[in-house]
Amino acid sequence: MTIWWLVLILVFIGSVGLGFVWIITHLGATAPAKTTTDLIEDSKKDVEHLFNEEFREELRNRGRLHFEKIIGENAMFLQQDLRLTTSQLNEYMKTEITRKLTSEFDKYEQSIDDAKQMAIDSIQKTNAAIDEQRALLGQQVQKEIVAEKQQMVQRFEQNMTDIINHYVIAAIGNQIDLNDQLEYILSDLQANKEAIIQDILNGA
Amino acid sequence: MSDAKMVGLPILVASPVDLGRMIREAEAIDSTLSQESLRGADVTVVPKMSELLSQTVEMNKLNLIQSNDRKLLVQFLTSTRDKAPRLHMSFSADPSPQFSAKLTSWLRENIHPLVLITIGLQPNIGAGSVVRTTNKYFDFSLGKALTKNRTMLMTQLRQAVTDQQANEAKMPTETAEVPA
Repeated sequence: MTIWWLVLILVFIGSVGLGFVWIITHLGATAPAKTTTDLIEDSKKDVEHLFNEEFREELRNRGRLHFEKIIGENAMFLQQDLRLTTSQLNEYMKTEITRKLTSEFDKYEQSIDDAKQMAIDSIQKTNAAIDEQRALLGQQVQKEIVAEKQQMVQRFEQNMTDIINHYVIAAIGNQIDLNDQLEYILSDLQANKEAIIQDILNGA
Repeated sequence: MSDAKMVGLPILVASPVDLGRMIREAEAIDSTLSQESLRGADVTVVPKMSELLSQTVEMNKLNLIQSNDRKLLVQFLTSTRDKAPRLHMSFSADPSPQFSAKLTSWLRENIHPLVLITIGLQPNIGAGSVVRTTNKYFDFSLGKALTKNRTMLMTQLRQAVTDQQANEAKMPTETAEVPA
């Protein structure tokens, strides 16, 4: 609307000017013929008469108000636009940052999961190796225990007769009269008589 | 001079030591009687002898008044000491004279009529004897007999342990079967 007002005012001013020029031209027909230069000067004077300082000031004020209004409106538009842009930018930043952070956190979580899984795998492998070693060691120890036991039993059996010999001899050695042994001694001699005779004859 | 006339040795003459003693004694008697006969004395009495020599002379029916018999005796005893087979027997205790006599008698009847025995002491054999001949060693001791029967001993021990384990295994079952 204000632009139309401006245009209307300018058209009005233009038409007024033209009217003055026509009037002057027609009035001037009766008057003594003026030269072009006089006409131009007269027109300038009329223009000056029309467009005096008050009118100019009024126009300036109107123009200033209009300009201020336009500026205000544009400023408002600009402000709105800026606000909109700012909010859009904020939203965008928010979205981007959230997305980025989410992505990074996901990666971080993934890497932690991977590290955890690796650690678990490593621990499980270590456990398996330890179990295997323990089983092997257990078998080895069992084998050695069995071998040691067998060796001890063998040693015991070997020494058993010596022990019993010593025991019997110590227990009853002094109790048996030599006279009671005569029959036993003679029976041994009888059993080995041939060998004794053979050795005596060969030795002789 | 041969000793074909000689019958043997009495049972009590068992060891080379006895023989040595008898030889010295016989030589002494021979020397005494020889000197007497050289002096021209009439030898009618034989000097007193030990029991062993006396038994030997009696057993072989010798007359020591006769010089030949005396020489024969000495020769026989010396020959026996040098050539008779010898046995060394060890016992766990000192044998009595009766034991030695019985042993000597058996050996002279079964091994050799003139075998000489040296008796030793080995208390650690417990019972039985250890006989050593010229080249061999015979262990008839109780220890040796036990060692020989070691397998039987171990079998008996194992059997005893198995039986004991079987009894112990049975015991809780028998306890569980006791009625309430």
